[in-house]
Amino acid sequence: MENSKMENENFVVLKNICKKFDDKEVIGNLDLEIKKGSLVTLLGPSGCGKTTVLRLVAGLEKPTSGQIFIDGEDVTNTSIQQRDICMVFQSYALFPHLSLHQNVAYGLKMLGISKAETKQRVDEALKLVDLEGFGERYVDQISGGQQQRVALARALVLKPKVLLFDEPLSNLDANLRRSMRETIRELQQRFNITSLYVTHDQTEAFAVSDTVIVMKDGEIMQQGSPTELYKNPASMFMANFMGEANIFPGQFDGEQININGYKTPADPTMVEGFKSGNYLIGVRPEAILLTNQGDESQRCQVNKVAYMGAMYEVSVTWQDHEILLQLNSSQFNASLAERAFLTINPTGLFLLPADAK
Amino acid sequence: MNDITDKSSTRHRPTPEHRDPIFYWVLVLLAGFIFLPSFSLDYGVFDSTFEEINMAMGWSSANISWLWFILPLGLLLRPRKIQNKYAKKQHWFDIVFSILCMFITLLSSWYTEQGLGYSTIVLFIGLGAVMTLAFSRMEYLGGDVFIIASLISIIILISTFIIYPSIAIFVPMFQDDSGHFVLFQFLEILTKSHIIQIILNSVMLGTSVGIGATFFGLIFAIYTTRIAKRSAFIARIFSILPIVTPPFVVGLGVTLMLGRSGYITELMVDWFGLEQTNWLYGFTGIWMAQVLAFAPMSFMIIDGAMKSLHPSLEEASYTLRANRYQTFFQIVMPLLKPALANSFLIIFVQSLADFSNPLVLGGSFDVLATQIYFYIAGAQLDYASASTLGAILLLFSLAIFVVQYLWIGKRSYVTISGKSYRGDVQPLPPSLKLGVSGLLYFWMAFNVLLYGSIFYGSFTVNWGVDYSLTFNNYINLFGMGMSEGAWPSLITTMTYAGIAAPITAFFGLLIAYIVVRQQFRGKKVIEFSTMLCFAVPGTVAGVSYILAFNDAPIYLTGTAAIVVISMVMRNVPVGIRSGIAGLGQLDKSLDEASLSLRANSLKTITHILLPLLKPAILSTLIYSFVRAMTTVSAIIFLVTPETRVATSYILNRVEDGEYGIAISYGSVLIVVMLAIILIFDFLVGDTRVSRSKATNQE
Repeated sequence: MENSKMENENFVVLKNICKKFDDKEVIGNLDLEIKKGSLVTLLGPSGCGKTTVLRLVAGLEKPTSGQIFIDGEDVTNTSIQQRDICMVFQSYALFPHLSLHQNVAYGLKMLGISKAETKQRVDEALKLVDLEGFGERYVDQISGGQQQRVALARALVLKPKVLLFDEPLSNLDANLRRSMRETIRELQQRFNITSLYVTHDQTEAFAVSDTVIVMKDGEIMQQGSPTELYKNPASMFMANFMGEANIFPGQFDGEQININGYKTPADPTMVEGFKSGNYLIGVRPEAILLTNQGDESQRCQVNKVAYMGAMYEVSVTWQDHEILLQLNSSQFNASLAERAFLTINPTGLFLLPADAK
Repeated sequence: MNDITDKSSTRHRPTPEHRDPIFYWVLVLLAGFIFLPSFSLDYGVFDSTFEEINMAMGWSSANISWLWFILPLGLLLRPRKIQNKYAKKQHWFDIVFSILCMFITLLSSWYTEQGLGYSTIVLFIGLGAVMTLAFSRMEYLGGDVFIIASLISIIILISTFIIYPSIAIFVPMFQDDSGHFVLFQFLEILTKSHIIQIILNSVMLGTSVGIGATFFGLIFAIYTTRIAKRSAFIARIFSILPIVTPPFVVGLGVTLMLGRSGYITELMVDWFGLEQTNWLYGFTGIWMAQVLAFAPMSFMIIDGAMKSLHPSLEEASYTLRANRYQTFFQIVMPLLKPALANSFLIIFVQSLADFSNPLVLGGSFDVLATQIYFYIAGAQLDYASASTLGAILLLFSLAIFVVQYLWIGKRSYVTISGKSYRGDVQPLPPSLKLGVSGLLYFWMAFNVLLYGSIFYGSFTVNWGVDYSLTFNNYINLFGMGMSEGAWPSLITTMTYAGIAAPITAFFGLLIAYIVVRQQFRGKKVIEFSTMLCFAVPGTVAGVSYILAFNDAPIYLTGTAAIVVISMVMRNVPVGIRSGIAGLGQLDKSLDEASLSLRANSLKTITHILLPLLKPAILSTLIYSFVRAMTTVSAIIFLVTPETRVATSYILNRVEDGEYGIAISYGSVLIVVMLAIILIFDFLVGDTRVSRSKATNQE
């Protein structure tokens, strides 16, 4: 925000966090850092503990052990009111007995801000989310998307140090989701608010985040930018969680990748840091092309074809592996069913250790 | 309780530069010592002479109360400024020292036999505030002063008014007339043959009433969920009737119909030559009256369970080739088993605790509840026997409560949390339908006759002898001026119930809030001990209050306060249940949103929860008011001629054999309370609609 020197410092820090519910460990020894002004998303299947982490940062839960810092201050046991965070809830949690204006003004009222200033700030906030003039309405008089925007305005109006999003889009239909996530990202960047975002939807996570943290069973599996996660998954779980992946045993000799005789030059960005040797090689379905010609190592047998509209999902057998590929409608023709050879685009390849699970 | 909480809020937590507020709290409790009497006044603050009040002042002489107030001065030995959360030793010292002060005060008061006076209320509030501050500084429960203060208040009140009396009832068991300790006295009492007979009577009665009432409850539940079109209306009647019917009235009504001079008895004599006209009194009569009184309660339990049975289960059974009978007896009934068992146990305890019906209809058939009453209210004044029987009754109830809690419950208060399903259900087998409807109509007809007899009876000169109409009963009750007849007791009842109702609602809601919305260690204990209120039978509660509050340290017997407190404690579970139901409908994220918007929990309650819970709060107010008016079993032991309430007035009329006057008063109470509930329903109708809109959308 005002202090650009802070830009690269860790603004929210979780150290060695453990959380147990009735002796059942939900989070085990978790470390997490969020840089100032960035939006970090916790992504993972349900029950992986991502919401618990968010609630720990909010102060709605207390960690069993470990420490939480916001802006350098230890807030581990600090009450939620004193943490300078705001939260956007999955259910929006708008107060049904208050008008939209009163809803947005609620936090300011609790802080004892003057009426005049409150009115001005609330009007600004509602304008920000395109709800100018809706102040006198009640929650049951507006649509789900509008409710979501009110919830956002209610959080933004307090100018919190940290903004928390708990699956904010999961109650919206697909079209609204796209525009809402754009709104969220735009406002977050405009005000440079450090944010933690929880979702189970990979597309949503990739669309809004600077950094995505994938969690499973209360542990962090991998973190990085969306591109890093998709292109260089660190484990079998990650490979499969980030979209579809076909996995083959193979070799990397420093320049080329060899899958049972099929050789293709490696993309240098993909194999950075890998020494030559045996690996498991992952191939993204959209990186495979089918042609009518090729050598024996490329030959494959088409088993099933499913028309999906924008593309074909094709299942083929190649080197005794059943693999999945996705072809543009223009890249597929019926003759491929008879005689097919595949080519792999090197940018759609990634390496996993040979013993990866 | 409020005094502690109003002082501070988390948002305006004083900065470390300020002087520690604990200094001010110590000043407050010293002010209590100077301005309020430290010892209990025998005649209450309004009827005491100046000299008596002067005597009760702690500083008027050298006495034990100096210790009570000098001891807390130890808290003054502390740094001037507020210590931060790392000064754990200081905070633990404050807490332990405060608890120590409380215990020393109680023990020394008990030892010197000087009852605690008003100033000690200030003392306890002050010490509670010190503990609150210490806990909040250690950031226990997020450092929320309101929650901590509420929790400490709840613990103190529950220990004083539920746990302590429940223990106190065991004491006279082991004391002989001169107060000496005798270990095996209770065995002597228990092995007397008529006591054994009484215990057997009670158990036998409770079992058969439990079976009978549960059977009828099941019949009604089947009718309202599967047969009736306007089931809500019938359910409403069943839920209102037991609440508005004062004790004794059902028993008296049954007498009017089937008693020695009842009209049905006379018809039987005329037509069938019945000779034994005394058959009602004893087991049969009590059984009938109790089944009549408790079946609606069983209905409420089973109805809830039936509504949560999803019809698709039955539909699945039909598709698997089962016929309607097989489906009903192999799918529906087994699924209702927990509810049936629950109903049986609850009714069993109710039957054990009920003493109004056995008093009217018992004849020579004595049960535990009436026997306890005779030991204390009668000429015998046998505390040892009363305490022994009370302990037996309490242990029975607690055992059943534990069985319920472990076996059926596990879901704490929210016994029925499944979504109720109302929709198309497959019809029942025709013969079952016929049987159920038949029984229900019989029941309805009987009830119409019963309540008709009560109202008609209240206008007759002398039932069974002279059926001519008269207003004499009512004139006797209400036409003799405000200081004669029923007026004093009616006004007293209304006043006490009016004081008790808001306290009940407040306390119940607070406990509900803490149990539902807060997480802390020992929550289960709080939950369990408040549920103990359910388990303690009224008769036992009454006896235990006499035994617990008849002497130092807390001397309350004979005051209005003890009557009001007993009304509150008997009805708090109602408040808790409606609070829990209400909170259950409010998404927890509403609280969390409010908290994250800088509101502390007190503000969250006042700005968010209270407005949204308004209907639940209003209904708690009304119901605890009405229930407080009709409560008898506990109250009967606690009232004096000055604090006599309506139910004890009716009891006295029953004991004097003035049945006409008793049922007239009963009729008036029924009409008054019905009016209150119906007017309330009418007024709140609109609020309910707006609340259904208000529940947060998913």
